[in-house]
Amino acid sequence: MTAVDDAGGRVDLGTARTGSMAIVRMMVGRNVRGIRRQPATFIPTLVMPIFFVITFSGAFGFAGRVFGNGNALSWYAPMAIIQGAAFAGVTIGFSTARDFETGFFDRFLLAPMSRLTLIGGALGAAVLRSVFTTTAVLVVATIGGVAVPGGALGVLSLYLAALGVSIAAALWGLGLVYRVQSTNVGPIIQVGIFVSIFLSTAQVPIAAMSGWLASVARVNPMTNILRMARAGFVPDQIAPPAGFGVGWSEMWPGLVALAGTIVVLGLFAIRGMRRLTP
Amino acid sequence: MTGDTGQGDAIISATGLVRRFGDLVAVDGVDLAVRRGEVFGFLGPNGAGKSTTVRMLTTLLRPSGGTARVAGHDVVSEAGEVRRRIGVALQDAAIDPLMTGTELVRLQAVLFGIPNSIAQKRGADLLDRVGLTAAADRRVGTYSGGMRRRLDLALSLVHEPEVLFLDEPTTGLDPMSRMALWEEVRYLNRERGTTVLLTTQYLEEADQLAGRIAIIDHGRIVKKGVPRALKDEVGSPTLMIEVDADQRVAAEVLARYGTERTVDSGMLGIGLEGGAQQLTSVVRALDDAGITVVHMELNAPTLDDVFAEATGRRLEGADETESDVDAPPPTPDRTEDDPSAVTEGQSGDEPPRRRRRSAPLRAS
Repeated sequence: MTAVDDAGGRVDLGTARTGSMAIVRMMVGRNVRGIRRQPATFIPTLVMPIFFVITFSGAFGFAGRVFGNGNALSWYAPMAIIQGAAFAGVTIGFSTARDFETGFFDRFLLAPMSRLTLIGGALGAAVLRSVFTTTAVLVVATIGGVAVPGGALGVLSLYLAALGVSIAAALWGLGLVYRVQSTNVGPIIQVGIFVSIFLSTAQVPIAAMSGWLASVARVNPMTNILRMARAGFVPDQIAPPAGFGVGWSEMWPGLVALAGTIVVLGLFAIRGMRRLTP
Repeated sequence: MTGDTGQGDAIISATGLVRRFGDLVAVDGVDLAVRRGEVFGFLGPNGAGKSTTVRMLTTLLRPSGGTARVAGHDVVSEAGEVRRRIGVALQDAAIDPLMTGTELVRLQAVLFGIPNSIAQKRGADLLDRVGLTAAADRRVGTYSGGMRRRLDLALSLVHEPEVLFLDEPTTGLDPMSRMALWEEVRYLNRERGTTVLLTTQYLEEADQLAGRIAIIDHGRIVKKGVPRALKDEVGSPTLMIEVDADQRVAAEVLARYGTERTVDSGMLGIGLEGGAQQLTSVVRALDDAGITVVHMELNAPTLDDVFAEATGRRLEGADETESDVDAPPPTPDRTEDDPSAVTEGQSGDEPPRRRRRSAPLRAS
């Protein structure tokens, strides 16, 4: 199979290799265009975390002492950011489900490229969306008076946690969508995310929990991810460092939790993708 | 079966291709051989297994049994190589309504690793060929059905495939758009040597475009060959008569002139063995029996007759609510054991039933 290029030379398309990075860029670009042209699909994922920051910190402001530094906003802002990142991830699952329903996904499946590239493109879009939401919520929280005593390292650990969560949530959504190939799977995707977030230290520290919820929160990987996200915002509840700051002891459990979650959900998504076509 | 070709010179070949969805057999041992450079028509009613077969040949669906090769590569073990060499326009134009025509062409080029310099020129040429230059920068959501189909066709050609699969390319199109698409298919085949496998439920489409056809019904190929030869096999023309008297009496009279043929309900049909010369005798005999003829027509054998001979029912105007394996998948038939892809009550392993169409269709 050949083609004539501009200079009249023959280009062997049979051996032309599809550039994975070009495809990832193209998929991310399509997603950004989608946001621009149909903002209604993006706005809720931006508004909801901001809404959570405002309502949760307002409602629980009286109980500031519970959160370690007397400031409910510092406790809830990282949680809302993580939630926004998770929304950003699952939105990619929803848009992929729509692509299945319209048949557009066939176009990707018919292309001679690695199936991992397809997943990579989706994750790229999830990460980009989560950067938007994380930044937006952080700005709103800062305007609202949140302090980051952990400094730049604290902000970095927050972004790291958010990006990781968006990837994990996207993999969860994609894994389900590759199997069901329909937007009907949406509620299951959301339930998974809500369960994972709200059965952790999303709302209050473990010390303030009792019974089964405390037990579940202790083993829920999200607890350590939130701990990492909050490292720069509130004193650690489990192993407080000598002085306030982001300590390795707060970071590594979160990093391990993220890595483990991403590996498990990555395998889930890859296996789902492999079921689709030969 | 006539017109079969050996698998040796075939650019598309399938042997014993089977696809099951749970207990349902959507494609039941299809053997197929399409020669390089031909237009091959895959004809059958909704739910016959056309699209499922195409999805297997285009690597979108894993066969449950049998083997298939396209452009020299196995559709399962060398799926990537097959994808590189084929262009596919599926039943529902797979197009993102938020993107423009130009953006979609660019996307397709990226997916196939075509350098930007080539992609730009080729994309512009293709959009021009399908008459979409003026609409190229408009969102596809604003396109008509015909424009979407033409864009889909252009997209399937961006990487200059050796083999083009068109799954019901003109379903839902107006006559003008249909003819424009036919012309494009002819051009591709004649001028560029592209092998085309097209599925259709339109007899005229298969007759107009295909050098050879295969008729599929209930997942099995029931006839294969050159359209003219298949029609010749049917032999005598079909005489269709509507009478205002007892049909049984009329049928007894008609039986003297030929064998009964499946026609629309409310009509009587025979293969008129003596041809047009016998028409006068038939009318006279009916008149002698006191039967008034309300409507009469004599048709040379068509592919519909071929289909009726093979399956016992008519394809033209067939009830589209019939079993629907091929229906565009809201929950598509990609997963290995998804029975939802097949409508209840349809089973590919049923033998072809001989029955008349229930919906009345008045011939004119």
